[in-house]
Amino acid sequence: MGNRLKRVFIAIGSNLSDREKNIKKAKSLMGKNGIKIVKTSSIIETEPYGLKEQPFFLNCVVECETALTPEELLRVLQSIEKELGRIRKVKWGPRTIDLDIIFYGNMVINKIGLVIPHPDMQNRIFVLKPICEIAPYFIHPVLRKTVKSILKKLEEKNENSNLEC
Amino acid sequence: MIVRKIKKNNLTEELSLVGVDQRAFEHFLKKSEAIIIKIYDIDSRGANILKQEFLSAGGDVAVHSDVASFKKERTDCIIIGNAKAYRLVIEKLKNEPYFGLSKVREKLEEVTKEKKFPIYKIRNNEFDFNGNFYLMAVLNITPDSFSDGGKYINTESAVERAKEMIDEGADIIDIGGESTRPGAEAVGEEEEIRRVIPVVSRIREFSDVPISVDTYKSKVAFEAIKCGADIVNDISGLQFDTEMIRVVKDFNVPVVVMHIKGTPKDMQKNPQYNDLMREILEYFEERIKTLRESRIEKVFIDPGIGFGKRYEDNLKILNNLNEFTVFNLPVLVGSSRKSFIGTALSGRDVNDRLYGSLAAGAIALLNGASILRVHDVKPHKDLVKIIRAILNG
Repeated sequence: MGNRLKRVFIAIGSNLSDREKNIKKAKSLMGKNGIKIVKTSSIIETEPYGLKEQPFFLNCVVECETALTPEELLRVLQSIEKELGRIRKVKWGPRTIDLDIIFYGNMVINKIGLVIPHPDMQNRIFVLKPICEIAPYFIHPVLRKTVKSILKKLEEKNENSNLEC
Repeated sequence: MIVRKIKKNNLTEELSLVGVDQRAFEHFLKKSEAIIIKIYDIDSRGANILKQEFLSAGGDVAVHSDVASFKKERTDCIIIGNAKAYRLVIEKLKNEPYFGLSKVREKLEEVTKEKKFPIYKIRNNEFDFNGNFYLMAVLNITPDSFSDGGKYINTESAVERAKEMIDEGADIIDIGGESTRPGAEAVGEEEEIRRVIPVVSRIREFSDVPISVDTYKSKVAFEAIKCGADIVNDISGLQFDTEMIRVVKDFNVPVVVMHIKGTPKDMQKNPQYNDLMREILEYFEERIKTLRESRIEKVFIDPGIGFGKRYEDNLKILNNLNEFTVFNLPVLVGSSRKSFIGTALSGRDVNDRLYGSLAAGAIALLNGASILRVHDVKPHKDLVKIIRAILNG
């Protein structure tokens, strides 16, 4: 267990019915468990595909400092997800809150359940936009590009195609 | 809530299942030059309004014979009307959201909408499911696979077989390390990985062909995706392993959701269904909804021929396959060499079922399937070409 503080980026996503409240709760639980939020992006909203009964998804990204190892961090985030996911008002109602580790310093990890950087972040507007808001020049340790240029590439790609990806 | 698009030649049976008075059958049969939709278990008061509205639009709604006399609180319904009638009634129902009718209206709108299947981009290959047919070729790497597993136990011969299938025009190579035929024993995770990973890596050395990994284990899927697999083909619809949703979601890969009743070990021991089509459709509805909550949208659905199904069930699935297009997702069907074909041909051996497989495959494609899962690529490639030529001609 290292004592130095690491700079980590965590994506928060929710379509629980009480979304803003749950995002706030998630942030507060993170703070109480050794994950100090240093910067937070604004929240963006995306439409769910197909289903009309589900509320839109809300996403944001927080920059944090933590002394937790990647495994410990994952465990803490998963227990927060479980805790918040238990508040289910409607059977089959939307019930997910996602806390995904996007970056853990400059580390590259490839274990099942713990792939860092997040393996799909470069395809997710709802992760890239918020992260660019708070740390546009952070360099992706594998792609070796700033998140700003990764976002630019994704936006160009989406413009050029009308395919569902 | 599911709705079922009923085939005209099943109408008599469905009317009798709803409990319609026999004397009315002729009347309904005459009206059936149209779209026929079955909905289950709605408030009888809503059913009465629905019937009124459809009657005034030139259609009708068949309900249980006790509904008119208010002796039954809920009823299944068969709605019969031409497209214009549906349009008129859907419009009118906007002002009548009582007794569950707003949900009914929503579903009717969905199901009568112009059908648009998605386009999936998989490893730089574009799969447009609007009128195109694709072949998923089976590559089993197991010693006890029922048809070709015994011959392909070492990596290099599996890779050779893959090359052959790619040359013959396979659109996807489906690699499985654990046999899932009826009665099969499970294989350990590590062994399955040992079988699958080398083959995936070797294929990636020379080909960009989309690869699906046939597994229900999240760790196997994870390792395979890391090596270059593009699709997860899960016979359990992401249910056997609770971590599978996470893997599919994190890597954002397309996933095949198959319907299975039971497990490979016991599924054929005595499968029972009260209402086969309803059960499978409700299964898909739940799975799709759950996956969409995790933002998993690139889904294929597979009714799971042979997976907890009797002979008659398999035939029924193929005959009514069009009902599965109600979700606007590509339908994948695996009939190739399966035992129902052997049975239909009075006990034909597994290696002598090609012509039967081709026939079943043709029916599947004509009834709305987009992908066939096959062992014999070249013959099925011909099949696809001829059908396309005739349908586009």
